[in-house]
Amino acid sequence: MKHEIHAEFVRTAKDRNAVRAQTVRDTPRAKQVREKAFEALEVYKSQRSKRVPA
Amino acid sequence: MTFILEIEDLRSALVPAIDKSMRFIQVQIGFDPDENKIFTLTVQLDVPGGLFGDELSFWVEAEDADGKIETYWDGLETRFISRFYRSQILAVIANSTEVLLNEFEPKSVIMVASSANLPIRATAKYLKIIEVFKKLGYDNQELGRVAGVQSWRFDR
Repeated sequence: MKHEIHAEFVRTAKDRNAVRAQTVRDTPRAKQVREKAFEALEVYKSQRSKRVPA
Repeated sequence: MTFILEIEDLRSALVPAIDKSMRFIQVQIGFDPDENKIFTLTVQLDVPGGLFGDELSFWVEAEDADGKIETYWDGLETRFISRFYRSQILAVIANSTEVLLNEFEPKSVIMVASSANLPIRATAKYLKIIEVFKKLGYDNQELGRVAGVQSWRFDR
């Protein structure tokens, strides 16, 4: 791999990743994962509130 | 911040999504009940084009109930997660990488470190991922550092 091309590729990695994160965020799969995670959070909070302090 | 590890069932979660030509695995890894935040991990195999084959990248995101999202690329940013939990999350990154490689069978993959001049402890996650590539028959080569940033190439 040519050094200059590789250097440019490494330098621009953060930009590519920022675009990827945004694109993934907008997908149906990502929205589904987040919805399920918020449901799990609510279950955890509900169970925690029912615990009787020792 | 109170990070509670809760990784969803990996048998159902480690299913690669192919969406808008992107190939990734995203799983819930935990939440913060005090700040009403959820945390997800994404591992992605993307094709940046040009000479480079595929590129492997991964990140953690936190989202609060108002939809405010923070993205963490580096272990230095996730010190609020305990070392034990981080090791569990690293195992999910390695498992997800293995699933993606088995599913899509890329011939060449490149991986770029998230930060420059990483301390030895911070390179552990990359070493674990390199082991996954080796296990699957890839040759690995550390490429020259660019402004202190390491990168690796894997071929088979």
